[in-house]
Amino acid sequence: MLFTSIVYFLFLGSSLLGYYLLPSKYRVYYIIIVSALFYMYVKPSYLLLIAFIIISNYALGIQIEKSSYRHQKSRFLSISLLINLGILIFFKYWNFIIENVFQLIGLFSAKSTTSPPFLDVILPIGLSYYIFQIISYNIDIYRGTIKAEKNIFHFGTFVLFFPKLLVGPIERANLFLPQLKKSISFDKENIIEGGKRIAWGLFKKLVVADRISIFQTAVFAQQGQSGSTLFFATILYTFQVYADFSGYTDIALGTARMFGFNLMENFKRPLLAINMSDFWRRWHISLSSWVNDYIFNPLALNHRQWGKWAVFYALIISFTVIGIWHGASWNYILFGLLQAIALIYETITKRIRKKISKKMRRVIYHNISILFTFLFVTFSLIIFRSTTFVEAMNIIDGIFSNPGSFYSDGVSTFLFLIIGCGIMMIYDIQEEFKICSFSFFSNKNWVIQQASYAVLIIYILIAGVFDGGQFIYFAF
Amino acid sequence: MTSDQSIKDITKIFIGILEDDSIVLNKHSTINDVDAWDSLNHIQIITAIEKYYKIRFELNELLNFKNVGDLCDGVQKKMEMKNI
Repeated sequence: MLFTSIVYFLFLGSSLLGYYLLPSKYRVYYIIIVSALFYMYVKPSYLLLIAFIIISNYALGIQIEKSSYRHQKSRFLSISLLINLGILIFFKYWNFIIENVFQLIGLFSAKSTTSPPFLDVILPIGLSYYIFQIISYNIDIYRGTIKAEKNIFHFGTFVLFFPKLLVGPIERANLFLPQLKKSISFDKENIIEGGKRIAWGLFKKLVVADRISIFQTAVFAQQGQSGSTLFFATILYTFQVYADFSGYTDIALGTARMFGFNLMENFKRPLLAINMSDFWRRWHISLSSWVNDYIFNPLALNHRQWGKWAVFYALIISFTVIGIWHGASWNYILFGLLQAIALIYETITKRIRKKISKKMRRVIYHNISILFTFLFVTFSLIIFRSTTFVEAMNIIDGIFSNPGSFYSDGVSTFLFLIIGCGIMMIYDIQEEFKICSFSFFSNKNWVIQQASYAVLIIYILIAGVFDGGQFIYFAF
Repeated sequence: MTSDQSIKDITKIFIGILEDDSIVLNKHSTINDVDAWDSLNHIQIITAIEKYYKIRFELNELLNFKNVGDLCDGVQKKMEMKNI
């Protein structure tokens, strides 16, 4: 069920109505049923898988907490990691691992007659998101930073809550579970604020991301596009991924808010980051902070006697995980390694860059930094989007060596692209730098604020693409 | 060693590593409150604190520090153990 489809909004409206008509003590059970129905709509049989994951991790969480000795706690944590990572590897990485193992064997043996034991299974949507969420839950219990949830319905809601089930955010138990303990009463503010957030999400997805997607499809359908066209399409892809994923997140957060829940923010104006460390503090925050807390910090702190090498080592492992989290493919691993190299470079050159910044006017240094960061992100996304290394190299090669006329499929396409990206970025710039004291969308004057949202909705209806384009991050 | 003294000492270490004289720490300061304090130089800060006090934290202790107050308590605990 796409977040941008009519079916979703009928589902949302009817489930909200039932939610607030029920007495508050029954609402948790109701949310579980509604979320299960939502997941069943995708593929009913995967509900059994998620039920197994919930029950086993619920029991293991309690066992980790109850164990008196460290080695007992470690044993239960290991079982939970084995189950969760085992399921993830089975569905997501098995074929990739087998393929590469057989290719490696093929390098050393002259002739191999056995064919690789590939699996023909479909990746359950949202698996990477909720598995990471559950892993952090059990590690937090092991570390003693949270208590195990004793109410299985609360734990089930933590995993299944439908707004975040398919594409995150990768929620933390210490932020989500306490919200279930409070009684949620109807508050029209939640509905209004949630609705506004959903409107922004729809704008980003339907007007910005899906409009760019049409242009991308047209450009990459033809071989031998000019360098300027490829460069423009590559730049636009950065806006597309941002609009697509943050648009989805806005709809998820808006939906959750309507039910009275606050989910964690996943984006903080990432295209205005001043370096790559800053970028990863603003982009897909729920994943980057997860990797920071459960991979980077333990690795770097455990090897701190290595000095800076501990940081480099932890960065390489952490970003390889971030890369491979996106999918079982070498391009994602390469994408992750590129990020690690950038961050290692930033660590090494920190002092020099600080000296340079002191010699320049702050505003100039700041804007140049934003531009370079944006260009690096754009470059790394060429690797991210390409299915093979050759494909990525062809795009890069085409940008620099293929002069020719600029591809255009009409003035209106351009106009919609520029206006869409423009509004999205002006909003972010205003939020970041507070350049203008006047604001349309958070104006204190009720009429101006509501009129701004009305214009936004009208613009979505005029310029939006309503043919049900898939969200890019559904694939992960 | 008092809690105030350990905050003063730790602040000096922060200033040295982050090269920022304007840093003022209190018990509630977190990684979000100090501009240059990030997970990259956090490693250097911890190593410098261990070297200064001649102590060694366990990994689990380090992962559970949420703010400067936790860090100071951790230092004091280690120092008390050393003096037993």
